Amino acid sequence: MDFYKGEETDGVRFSWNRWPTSRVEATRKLLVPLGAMYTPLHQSPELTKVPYPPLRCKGLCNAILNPYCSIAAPFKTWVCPFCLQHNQFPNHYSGISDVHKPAELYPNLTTIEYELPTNDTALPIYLFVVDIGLPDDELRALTDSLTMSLSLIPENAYVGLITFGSMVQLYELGFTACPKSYVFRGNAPFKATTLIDKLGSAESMNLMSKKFLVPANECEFHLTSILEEIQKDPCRVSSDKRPLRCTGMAFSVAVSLLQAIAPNTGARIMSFIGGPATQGPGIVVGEELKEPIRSHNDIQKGKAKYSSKAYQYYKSIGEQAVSSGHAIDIFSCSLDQVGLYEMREMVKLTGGFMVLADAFSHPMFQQSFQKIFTRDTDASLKLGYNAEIQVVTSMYLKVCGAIGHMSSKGAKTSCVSENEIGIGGTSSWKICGLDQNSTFAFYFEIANQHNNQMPPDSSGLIQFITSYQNAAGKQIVRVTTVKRDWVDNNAPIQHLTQGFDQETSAVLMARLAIFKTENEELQDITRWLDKMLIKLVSRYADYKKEDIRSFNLSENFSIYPTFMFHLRRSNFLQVFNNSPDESSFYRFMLNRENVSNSLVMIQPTLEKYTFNGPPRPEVLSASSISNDSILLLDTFFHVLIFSGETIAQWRKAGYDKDPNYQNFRDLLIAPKQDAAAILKERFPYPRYIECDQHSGEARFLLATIDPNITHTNNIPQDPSKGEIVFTEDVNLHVFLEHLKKFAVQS
Amino acid sequence: MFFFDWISWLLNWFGLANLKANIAILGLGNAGKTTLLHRFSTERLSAHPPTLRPNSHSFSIGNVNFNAHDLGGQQNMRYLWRNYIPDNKTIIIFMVDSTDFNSIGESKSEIHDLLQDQNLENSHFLILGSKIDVKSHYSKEQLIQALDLQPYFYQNPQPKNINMVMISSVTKEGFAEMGKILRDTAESLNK
Ligand SMILES: Nc1nc2c(ncn2[C@@H]2O[C@H](COP(=O)(O)OP(=O)(O)OP(=O)(O)O)[C@@H](O)[C@H]2O)c(=O)[nH]1
Ligand SMILES: [Mg+2]
Ligand SMILES: [Zn+2]
Repeated sequence: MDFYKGEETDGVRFSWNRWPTSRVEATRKLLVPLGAMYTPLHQSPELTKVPYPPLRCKGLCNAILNPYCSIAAPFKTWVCPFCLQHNQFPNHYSGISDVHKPAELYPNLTTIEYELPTNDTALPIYLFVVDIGLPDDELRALTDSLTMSLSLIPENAYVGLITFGSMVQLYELGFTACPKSYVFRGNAPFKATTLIDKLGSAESMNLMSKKFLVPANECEFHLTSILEEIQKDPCRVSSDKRPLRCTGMAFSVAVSLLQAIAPNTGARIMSFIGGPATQGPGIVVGEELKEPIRSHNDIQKGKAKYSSKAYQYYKSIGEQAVSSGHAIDIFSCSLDQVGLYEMREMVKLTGGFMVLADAFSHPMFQQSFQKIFTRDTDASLKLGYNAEIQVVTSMYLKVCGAIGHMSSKGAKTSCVSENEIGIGGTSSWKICGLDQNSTFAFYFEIANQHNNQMPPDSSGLIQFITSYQNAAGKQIVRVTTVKRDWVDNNAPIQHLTQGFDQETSAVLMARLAIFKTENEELQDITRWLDKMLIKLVSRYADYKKEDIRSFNLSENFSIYPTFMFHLRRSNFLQVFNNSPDESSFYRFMLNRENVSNSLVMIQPTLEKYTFNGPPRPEVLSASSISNDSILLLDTFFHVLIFSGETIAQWRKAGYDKDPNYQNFRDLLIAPKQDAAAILKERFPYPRYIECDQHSGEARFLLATIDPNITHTNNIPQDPSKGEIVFTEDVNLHVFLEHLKKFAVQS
Repeated sequence: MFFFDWISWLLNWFGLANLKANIAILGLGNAGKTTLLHRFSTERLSAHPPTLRPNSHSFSIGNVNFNAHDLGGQQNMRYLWRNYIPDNKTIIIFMVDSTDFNSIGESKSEIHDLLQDQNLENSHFLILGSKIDVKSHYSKEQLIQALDLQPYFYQNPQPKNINMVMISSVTKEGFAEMGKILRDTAESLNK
């Protein structure tokens, strides 16, 4: 089965593409949950856009007219395949015939976009929240980036500015005569109403008044000069103290301001943070350096003094933003932690961006930031705002929940299962910020009773309806309707297994694992992954009981165990040598990317460059390393070029500059070009490393690969092949042997 | 006297008299800091990528519970080191890769910066020469020479609270001596 086709046209992939016909069968057979990875803004070159509103079913299902609706002459009505309701076509649909149909009924247009005809276009709002507790050079680098962004933001989009350090400052951008700003101190979080009281009459708190939020082209000059003059927080810091930052207050002011001025219109709060909150609500660590910021260890032992309170605080800020449809981004740039761990929920709930970089002067920040403003071919930013995604399922199917950067709308329709997975109990979710990579995992359940026969030739249908405001301010509804076949319980098992998409399955399991990290111990999660894997394998592998050698996994299950091996070892489920901020960031990214990007995160890719022929993909293991080759490692977060010892020696000897060794020069250039191509596409911009074998930075590779060669194991005869890893970790081979052993036993 | 010893023995028995101590593990990138800390806190040897953000883990040696901050050793991260040595009760471990003859000069200058730091005047230092399972490595004496630490080690009385142990996280050679020094230091700091 071709799983990529559906991804290309619809941006959707399922773990299982053929479905058992009853709940009992599904529980027995679908040992990876039935789920879909859906990318609502997936950019397909063939996407059809129509300039009219969609036609909704009158029934309770609320589904939208689609190619799977049955219509027949005289084409006056259509039957909804979700609730079987008969609907009249409105007058302007008259004239439909077998040959003349509206686009949404074309069999190949399973995904279509409706642009709603409205007069008022609301352009998105960008509210900058800037940390001024930064060192001078960092503050300069940041304000330079912000100034640059003004030329990239659509010119009539609104912008606003808030700075924070020992206090919060809200700038008036409307009056150009003299710069004016409002200062907020104190510890109490603001409510929108109190903010309005403080800032003036309710009438002035709207976009028309152009006071705090002003179209970019009207305030560019003014804002540029403010940015140029922003000074480091004048509040002095002694060397045994951290700079004062009332980060929590700053977010409260930002969210409340937007809530007052522009509720339910697309907006993003872009926050730029270089250190932890040390003051006021949302404090993450005390002012004294003597008191270190919490570690994983502290959190596990319940010794993180501020964490849970701060987490709750930022979560409530996130909920406030969700209620008015606004996204929150965090650009965290520092070599130490800034409290992403506590702040993560704000970004997750609202679908904002999260970037973790070393500094504001670092390409990881600068390139990432610019990338957000990259426009597509028709010059619009590929972003969606204030979105809602609704799932409709056909009979016998129910939605258990979703995992991704969204929040529940609490719409308990008849499609909703009692069985909650992820954010459940609803069939629609709010997403304040969307981009073309935002991908959501949906989990489903087959609800049919065992003895209830399905009508012959029927199939299961799922519709995703995403309404959002695009970056040009237009209201869009994207509808994707997908159909999958039922497999009769008595059909040969191959009918079911041919529909097993192991890549998507691995990602759906990874999302579940990530979701569990919020409440469960890592050890328990790993154990759960193992248990699920053994169950799946023992059901679908061929073997004679108790005979390991007879074990065989068919092709479309064969790489799944390897994904699980790498997932268990990954930074998503191992926290040693990581700070809570880093773990939060890594998990955040896995929780938002599509199947192929998620797979790179779970099992990084390795490409090998040698003199003998074109580059080729290599197994991610210690035996893939050799003296005389170059490797390109992509972990999604890091892109690394690793030169074998001999290559490195030749390069140091300058052979690449010798015209006689053109082929050596080409060999050095090839991986760099490929790396550049990855860097160009990737968001956030990854850490880029060039290193040689046996160097310190080579550890990025050594820590990632399957350690099939160690100081005690499999040491190769020929030292030019393979690399010894100092570890006692289990390697893939041993892992698989154990898996087989357990599988044939059960 | 007998009575007090008896009490502390009893408290120990119930795990109540646990002493606490803080450690900051410093040293250049690739010295072996994270590998050692992982060995301490999980017993297991494992491969880690370069440390990118400070983080901490705890482990026990005898009756002492240590909380150790593992700091990145790459050049741009070293300015953070001092943030994790808040007082002179923090034991400073400085790790030197005894097999990397090229970076020894860099280690030397970092060590001397720390040793001469006024704020760290009374701090306890433990220099660890790492990776001695590798064939070609500095011996302890060579390392003292190479790091220019003779004044600290060959003078009586020693001008500073400073020790040096050669270890291997792979074979655990030197671990007993290192453990003893850490425990003794912790005890003296808790007096
Ligand atoms: N042979 C040998 N290798 C070791 C030993 N200890 C560490 N290594 C290796 O040396 C490298 C150093 O690893 P880390 O422990 O990550 O180094 P680090 O000091 O934490 O480095 P940064 O995090 O960059 O500051 C790794 O490749 C280890 O496998 C040892 O005792 N013997
Ligand atoms: Mg380290
Ligand atoms: Zn319907």
